[in-house]
Amino acid sequence: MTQDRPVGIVVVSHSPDVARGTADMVRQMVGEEVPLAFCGGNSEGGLGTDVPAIMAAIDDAWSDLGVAILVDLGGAELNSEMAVEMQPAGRQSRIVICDAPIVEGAVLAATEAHGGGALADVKRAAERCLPQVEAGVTDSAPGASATAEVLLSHPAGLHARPSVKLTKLAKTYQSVIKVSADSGGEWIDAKSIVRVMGAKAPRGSLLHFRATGEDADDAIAALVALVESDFEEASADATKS
Amino acid sequence: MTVDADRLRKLIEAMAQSIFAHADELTALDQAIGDGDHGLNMKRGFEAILRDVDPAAAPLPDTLKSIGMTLVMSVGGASGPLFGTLFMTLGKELPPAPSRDDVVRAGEAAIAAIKARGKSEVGQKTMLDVLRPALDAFAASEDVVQAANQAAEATVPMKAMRGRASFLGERSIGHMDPGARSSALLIAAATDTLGRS
Repeated sequence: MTQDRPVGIVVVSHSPDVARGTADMVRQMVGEEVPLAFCGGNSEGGLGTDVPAIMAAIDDAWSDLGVAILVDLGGAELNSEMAVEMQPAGRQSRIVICDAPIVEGAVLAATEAHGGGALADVKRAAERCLPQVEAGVTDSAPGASATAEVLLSHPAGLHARPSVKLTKLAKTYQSVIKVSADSGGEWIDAKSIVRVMGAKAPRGSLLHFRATGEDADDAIAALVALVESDFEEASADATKS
Repeated sequence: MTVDADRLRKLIEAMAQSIFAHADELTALDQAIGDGDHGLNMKRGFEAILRDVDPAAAPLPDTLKSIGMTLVMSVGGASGPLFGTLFMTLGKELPPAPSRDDVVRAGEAAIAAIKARGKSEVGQKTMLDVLRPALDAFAASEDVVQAANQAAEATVPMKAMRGRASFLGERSIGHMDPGARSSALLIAAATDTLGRS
């Protein structure tokens, strides 16, 4: 079933180890729900990229919403382009190659995909561009509004993994949710991984949440609980992130 | 000029043998400014061609397309799509019995396709720096092999602007581009087999 699947992510590296390791990091940070495939190495197992392997990876990660490919060096990009051009015509327009660092781009792309983002949004997230539809995100969604403040006590602050968790959780609610890292600071979209990670909020920041919409109270309660739990990471584990 | 199956077989074998004979040299050139696998990659590609492409099975255009597709599917580096595009475009543009003008026109199309594929231009220390002057020499009925070899030599003082070699910037100066060298080898092999006219 490729319907209802999030946008798929394909990792193409010259190195089998880099490809597998990148996929491991995506799985650990974003989870199992996003279709993810990887390939690395030439047909003999040496460093390089292999068009048939890239085509197989696209098949594995296929979603009707499309597939975003993350590559490392030039040959990976060229061979990915060839693999895309060999897809059926109906698929080609639903595959993009992201101009982004392979590990960071894969994590950001998968995070955006996890929340149900469209292919263009996934590519933009990987490339650390702000979401295209941000103008449509208003503060005035119908329904209740709720606010809360919570101390960011996670030792690493709003680092990559906490940002991914916060964004993923925010995206499960219909409400418009904004977060600000300090009083008087800029209100940013809590559903944008690029925005949340870009806030670089350190430990000890006071996070302000503001939600408007039908499920605003639930959203705020869940987000506060997540931050208070240090993002559900044991403290020993958290200090490593 | 008609290119029958026998001539096609000789063409394929001549190109492959030239790549095999110079694989170590190509790899050494690539070790200086790239990732050191150009000779191995091209060798893998032409081994696959010898194994999978039957020159008796199809006329010239289809055989050229098969050569290109085999390179794309087997080389495993940037040279796969680039040399693959060269042969696939020639296969698309050439009639079964091409005239001299047909070759010039198909050559122009191939150069344009390689530029688009590699997002590159002449003068950036790539295979284009051999293909362009070689095609010009062919169109002017000059010595194509000599033009290709001189053009490959002329990439030595160039600064790489595309591909892995571009990471080296100024340090890419002083080395021949491996893709330029392999292009000159293929042109020489093709010219020897098909004749200089």
